[in-house]
Amino acid sequence: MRFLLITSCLALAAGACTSTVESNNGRKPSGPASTSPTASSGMGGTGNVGTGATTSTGATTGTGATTGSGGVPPIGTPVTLVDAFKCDSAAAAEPTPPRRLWRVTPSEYANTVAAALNGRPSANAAVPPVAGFVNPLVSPGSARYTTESGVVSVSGPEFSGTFTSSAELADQMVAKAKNGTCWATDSAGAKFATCVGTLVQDKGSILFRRPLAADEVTHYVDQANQVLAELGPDGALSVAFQSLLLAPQFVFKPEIGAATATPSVYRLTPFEVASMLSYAVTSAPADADLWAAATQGALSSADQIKTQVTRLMAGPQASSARNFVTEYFKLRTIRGVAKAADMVLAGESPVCHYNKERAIAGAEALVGDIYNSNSTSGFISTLFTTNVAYADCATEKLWGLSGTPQNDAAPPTRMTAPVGERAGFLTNPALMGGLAARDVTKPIKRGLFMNMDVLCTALTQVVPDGVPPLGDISALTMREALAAHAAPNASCKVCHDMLDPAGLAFEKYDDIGTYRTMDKGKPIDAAGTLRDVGLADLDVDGQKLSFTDAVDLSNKLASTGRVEQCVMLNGFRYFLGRREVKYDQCSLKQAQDAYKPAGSYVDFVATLASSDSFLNRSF
Amino acid sequence: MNSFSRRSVSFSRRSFVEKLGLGMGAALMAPLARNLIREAQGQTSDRKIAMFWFACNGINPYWVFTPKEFAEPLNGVNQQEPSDVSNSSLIESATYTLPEAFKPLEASYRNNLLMMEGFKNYPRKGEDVGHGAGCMALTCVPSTDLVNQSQPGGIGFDQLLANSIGASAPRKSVLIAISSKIDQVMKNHMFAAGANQLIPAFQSPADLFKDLFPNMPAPVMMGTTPSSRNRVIFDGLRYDIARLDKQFAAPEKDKLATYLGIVEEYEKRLQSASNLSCNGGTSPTLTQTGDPVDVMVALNSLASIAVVCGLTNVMGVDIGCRDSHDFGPNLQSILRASVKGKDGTSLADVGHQDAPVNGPVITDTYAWISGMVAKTLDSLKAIPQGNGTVFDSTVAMITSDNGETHHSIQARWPLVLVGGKVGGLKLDGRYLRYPADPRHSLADVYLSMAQGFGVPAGDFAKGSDGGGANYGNPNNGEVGGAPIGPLPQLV
Repeated sequence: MRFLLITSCLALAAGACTSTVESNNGRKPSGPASTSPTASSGMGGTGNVGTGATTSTGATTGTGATTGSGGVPPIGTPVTLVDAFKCDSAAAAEPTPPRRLWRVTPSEYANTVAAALNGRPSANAAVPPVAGFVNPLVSPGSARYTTESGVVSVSGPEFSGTFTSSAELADQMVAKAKNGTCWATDSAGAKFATCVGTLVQDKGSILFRRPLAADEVTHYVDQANQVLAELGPDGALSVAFQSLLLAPQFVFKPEIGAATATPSVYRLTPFEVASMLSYAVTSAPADADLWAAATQGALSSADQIKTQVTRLMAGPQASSARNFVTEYFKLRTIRGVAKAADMVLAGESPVCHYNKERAIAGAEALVGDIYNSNSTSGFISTLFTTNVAYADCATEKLWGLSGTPQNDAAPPTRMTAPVGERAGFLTNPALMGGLAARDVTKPIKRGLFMNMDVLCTALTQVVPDGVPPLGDISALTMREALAAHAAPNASCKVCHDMLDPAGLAFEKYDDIGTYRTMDKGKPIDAAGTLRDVGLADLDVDGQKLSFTDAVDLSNKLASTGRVEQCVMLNGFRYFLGRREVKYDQCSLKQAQDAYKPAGSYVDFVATLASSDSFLNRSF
Repeated sequence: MNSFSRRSVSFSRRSFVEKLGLGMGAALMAPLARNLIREAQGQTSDRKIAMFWFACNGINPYWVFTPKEFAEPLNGVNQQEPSDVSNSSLIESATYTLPEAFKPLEASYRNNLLMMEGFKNYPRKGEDVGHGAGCMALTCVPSTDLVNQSQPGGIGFDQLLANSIGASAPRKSVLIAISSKIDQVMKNHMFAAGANQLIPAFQSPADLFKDLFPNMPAPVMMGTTPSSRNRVIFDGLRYDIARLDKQFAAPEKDKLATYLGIVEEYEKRLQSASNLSCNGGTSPTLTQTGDPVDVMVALNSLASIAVVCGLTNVMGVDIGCRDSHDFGPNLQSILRASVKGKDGTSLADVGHQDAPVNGPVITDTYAWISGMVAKTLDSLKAIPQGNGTVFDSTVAMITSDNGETHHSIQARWPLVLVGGKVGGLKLDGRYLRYPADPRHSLADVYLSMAQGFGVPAGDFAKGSDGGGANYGNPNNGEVGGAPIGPLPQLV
């Protein structure tokens, strides 16, 4: 493959940031945002599709990276890893990013219609799903994270689905309104319009994530009145509800804000803050406590916001906060990879047989375990070092374990991986299987993930030219095969020397993540040194990093500033749903400073959520 | 049954076709169809119809394709370049025995088809990634995402046609797929509006029904006066969009503009459908999790009715894309359960085509597909148009979706075209085997069809390199190398 190799990046964080959550530091609003999907942006780290200029020599361009997020356009000046955590005067002078209108994610959509149907969730409770609901929305395929929904609108098939399901939901909402609301007594006659208005405000405030203005309520009541004679009261109310469910004010998350002392800079309103917080942490609309805080104007200070985030992250509803780990480590990617091991062949028992979903279930159980035990201390390092395994009868062999309940209904069991064989999610079977092919490892995929997502090197994949096939590798280890493959051509070596060490480190995990020490009858050599552009050693906190295998590599990376920053950058992208730009440097620095003392994920998210990047917009 | 599947009728595999009308035969269908065709908006002039049926990778017809009169051993093996076109000149004959795999077309369409083979259709050398590679068969260019093959590299030929011959119909195209993988990653891989623009295919008959016939027997939104209800809702939506639009600048405004466009397109479709008496009957409860054969037959029936009714002029069917022969075991009810793959133990290995033992299975698969195609064509033949029928301006294509080498031997890629003489297309019963030099690609077939349909091909199949330095290099060029041009034997 041919890759775009750009400036190597150092993990440095320096400079003081003086911005506070209450002010915007006199920053200017941004100019028109770029709409070019090919414009340069961000770290160039995580996307599937590179779009910038290419170089076959591996020479650095020195101007930052192209977007690696696969189509999410930048909203400001690109920033490199070297600068991302520097809060300096240049960053403070950057224009404020513009107002955004980003579509709800599929899970946000599902949780919000569930709340509209069943009522706003009480404090610290997850939203129960609507039975049988088929989600009409899909995540944008071009985005690294499902939360990067700002790049899309609504497609035809999605609208078709929402139109149909909204009609059914509206009817269900009408049926529910017959118990315990004004509709039980006031659905006809003179009180019809008043009751419709009350119900529109009640349901609309959940869907729109803010109280409706009086003229908005009037608009939906008018709609009901227009069809009252033809459809009757229930049908008329259903029309009003369906209109709410289809309104762009629900399907999109508007970030408009209120004017500040700085011309053209707007601060998110308390209800917009509540919406952002609840979706970021819980993927659901504001619960009763958060809604009350917004209503009382108690979301204006950083401390108030941090208090709410801390509360939300401590409860069972924090699904989105947990989901960041799942998406960061691509633990569901294996769903898209056909696996020979999935097949139940004749003569085999389907009971306790490997399948990909079992691997994912174990990985997600581990995410929950670490979230519960380490969300306020040593969070990132634990992600790279834990030797906890969640295995069941279908996956225990992958881990080299035994003794789980031998039935398919049993949930994964918490166990300890054999000594020296696992270190965190980098060696998890779900990730290893996702970064492999049907029945063979893919060290290039693994190397790409390490470079783009773990080390945040400035590398973006582009369409390759003339890459020869590996050929017959039946007698070769993967290391031998890759060496033979890359050796004849110097231009091949440029990329392979960068990708292969990080990828081959994981050769001890086969195509579904089973630990092994031999390949083709030969001992596996997983040792190496991380490399950067131009055949140089990769700078990891000022020194090169050599390792004996993936466990050694992951354990060493766990305590490095480079990886810590890279995880935080990805967290920023996930929680803000966009790529970082120069304006965000102070916000990132604040969040990093909050994380560092104890390694608290909660403090990181809480500080990020109270930062200027989270709260300020321009128009 | 949950509240989102209100219709209580479920259909067995075979009866569903009858319930929807396609199985009733031309005589019963004709009066209805005549009525429908007049009513379909924008369909008053002569229609041109294109339909594509693809079976998954590994389930490739070449083992069973070549007529016995022209039989020649297939020499290719997995993981190798195309090697099985040994004829130095074109083989062309009107006299041959139609292979069993396509026998369902024999009675009515023997003189309206072309058996064609000898084409290239393979991805860039070195970029074989197994099951995902072949979903380029409509785009003829590689995926832009060479790691996961998750994004198309260009527009699919079906959509190129849809932009033209589908523009006047309520639906530009109706795309259906069946796959044992129902997650988002797996279901959206065959149809593309352009580079990185996947078009999801319908996998659930229930969902497709609701989409095609939203005004039919009251899937909820229809009250006693559904048009009033919908008018109020759509007018309200326009108000909501305009209200929000004032508060944003580009590019956020563009999202609202897109939303408005989608809303109004859907509104137009509802209005079109409300004028049709083309009633799909009662909505099925069958979803993509049902028996795969039931699901495929139901999807095919609904999509075919959409064509027959004039709701669309382009239909795409993908059986197992990104799923491959893994899908095989689920189709054992049509594939002979007694036939095992090359490993002698299961159907799972049918897709690795380095042994002809899989022939009977593949024959049955394509016979099943050919049967569906024949039924749809029968219906179109019953609809008068000008001095003939709609069939005269219809072309259907049957082939496999995949060209990667792990599941295909890349040997003289085969396909069947069947239909009328659209724009002079020479569908007259011949067998054609194209030679090794010049080696034509699948793209040349599409260029020929485009010419026949009167649709400019533009940059179709030019690929992500835009015809750059690598374009056309058989070792590292686009899928199948550079298109040469329309085939004189076809157009």
